[in-house]
Amino acid sequence: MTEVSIRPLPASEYSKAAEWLADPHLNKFLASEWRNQKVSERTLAVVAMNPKNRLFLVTCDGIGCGIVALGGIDTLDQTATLWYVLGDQAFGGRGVITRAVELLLSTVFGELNLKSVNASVASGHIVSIRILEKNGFVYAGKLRRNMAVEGDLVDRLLFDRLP
Amino acid sequence: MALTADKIRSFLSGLGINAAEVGDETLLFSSGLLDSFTMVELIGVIEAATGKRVPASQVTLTNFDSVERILRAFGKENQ
Repeated sequence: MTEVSIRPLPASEYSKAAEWLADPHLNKFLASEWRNQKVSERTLAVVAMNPKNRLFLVTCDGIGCGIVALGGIDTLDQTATLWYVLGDQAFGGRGVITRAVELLLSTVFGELNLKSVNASVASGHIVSIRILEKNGFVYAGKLRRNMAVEGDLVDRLLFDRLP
Repeated sequence: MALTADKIRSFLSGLGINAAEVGDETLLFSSGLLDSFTMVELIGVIEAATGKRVPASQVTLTNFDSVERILRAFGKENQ
């Protein structure tokens, strides 16, 4: 039985997290501020110090394997954008990130008392879409040709989730 | 080379920010004046000026969110 948990990303894991986010296979799906940038341990440190962000290390049976995170936390509108990365592909296919997102939603609607959370996915990124759907996210619309993936402009699919 | 307020403001000017309007206690990061990637560049400027690496554990709002805080954390008396 796989045990998945999340905890605030510690500084000691910034380096590993930076490696994951810099991986071209993952980096191409990230928000534009992360793409085509030199993602380093320092980048993670700066992102983590922003109070609008919350970064969590995903562990599977105690081993760090990915990140789930909130960005753009808006305490006035009580919303945020959720994103996630499975850094270690050896843990793929086990529902690790799906479970991690579920755990993060508890923080979103509990501790942070947000009333809405959103996420976006590049059109065709089926695995990522399934993660959201399994966690109760609802398709909210499409921004056409809104995301550059490997040089091609693709549609961005928008999802949201209420408590 | 020493880290000075002028050096930090010179960096800000290079980003197109009117550095004359940035007071010592103006919030640089939590206000959105600097984004994550320009803050990374600023850390590089600080390291170049001090000759010392800034460890990730010291990258905090307490140390970086204003000119005054940066000088307090990494200025001459702290080198």
